Parts: sequence; structure tokens; C-alpha cells
Amino acid sequence: MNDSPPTFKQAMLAALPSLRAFALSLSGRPDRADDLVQETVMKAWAKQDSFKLGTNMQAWLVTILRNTFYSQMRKRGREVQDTEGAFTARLSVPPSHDGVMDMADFKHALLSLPDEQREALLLVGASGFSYEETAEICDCAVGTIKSRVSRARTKLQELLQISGPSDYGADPVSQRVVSRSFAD
Amino acid sequence: MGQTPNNGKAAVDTASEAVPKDDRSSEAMPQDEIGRRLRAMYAEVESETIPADLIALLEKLDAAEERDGK
Repeated sequence: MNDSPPTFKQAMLAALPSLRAFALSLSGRPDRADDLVQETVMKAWAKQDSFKLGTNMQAWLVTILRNTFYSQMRKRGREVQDTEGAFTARLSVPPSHDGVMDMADFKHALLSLPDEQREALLLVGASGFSYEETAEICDCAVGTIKSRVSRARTKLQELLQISGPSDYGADPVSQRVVSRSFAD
Repeated sequence: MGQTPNNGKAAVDTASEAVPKDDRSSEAMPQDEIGRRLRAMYAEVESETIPADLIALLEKLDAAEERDGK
């Protein structure tokens, strides 16, 4: 380890693990996530002069990545919606035991959220940005971010608990699962 | 149809259970079941080695820059 401050390349390397995590959690697809990260790296490199070393590299990269994600979505349009439909359908499978979802179910629940809600929740709850930083990244008001995070969490809590008989019309299988846990 | 507010099993220990803050936690980061799952999800990816082609891309960009004498 040397004492000199990190170079642009070093700073970028250090930011990649978290960036990859965000890309995968946002897009839900490993191939798309890898593509997003690569594009982000290339774009960031090309405009490195606009970045001031020592400022928030993570926020800067994440901003480029999410903008790339949305512009790709606009181009792909319908194709992406169908993909998300396939993910959402998975949610009809009842939880494996005692209403507790495993990681796969959590991921699918996350992917069923509207993109902006999932994005806000990820940035605040996993990437570790403040509400203010997240608002800058998403180019909107802090209040909007708070509202998106709140709605995302409420929806996830509903999906995680899956208490049934529920308003969602629980199927007989999940009702039996819940009845068993009440009997304990 | 009776609906229990919280079926008594899931996500109950949230507020009372002390969750250690990790390096990146902010005041906005939820210290509860959802927060834990989110960070566990990230930890999965972050523990992976960075793909070789991504490293190669960075090296290529870096090398090209040095060639151009920037």
C-alpha cells in the first residue's frame, strides 16, 4: 500500500463491488447487470475530467449506471416489461416454511416493485447513501425519495409476511401453511 | 376474515434486536428485517471476485490513456 492518494483507476476499482451489487439488484439479471457495469465504466472513463478525485466516486458511478439503465429500458421497452412479468408470476408460489421468505423470494419481491421504488430502496437501504445523496442521484426531491422508500418497504413487508387469509386472495396452500404456524 | 396485524412470526424482533451498523450504514438505512436482507443480498455480490473481463476493460482503458500521453 502506498501513501499517495488513489488514482482514478484505483478509486474506480474500489467502487466496483458495490456498483455491481446495485446493478444486479436493480436489473435482476446477471447478464444485463454486467453489461450495465461495463457501459458505466466506459462512460465514466470517458468523462473522468468531469469528476473531482476525492469526491463521492460511488455516487457518481451509480448515477451514470442508473441513467444508463433507464435509457436502455426506454429503448427495449416492451421486452423488459415481459421479463418482469415472469418474475412477478413467481410470487404466486407460497413461502417454503412458516411464512418466512428465503433470499430468492426476497429478490423476486424486490423485482416486482416499480423500478423507481426499488432503486430508491436499494440506494438508501443497501448502497448506504443518505436521502439527500439519493435524491441527487435520482435527480428528484428528497421527499420523493422518502415516499418511494416508504412505499417499497410497505410493499415488501406485505409480501414478506404473507399473512393469509389476506386481501390478496390467499390460495388454500398458503392458508394451510399459516394455520399450521398458528397452531404452534 | 380475521387478519392478525403481524402474524407473530416474521419480522417481529426488528426494533428490539440490536443490529450492528456496518461501515456504509447511514441514518436512512433501515435496521430491520428488510435492511438485513438488502445488505445480505449486496454482500453476496460484493464477495465475488470482480469478473476478469471487467478488470481487463479497466486495464485497457488505462493503457490506452497512457499511450495517448494524457
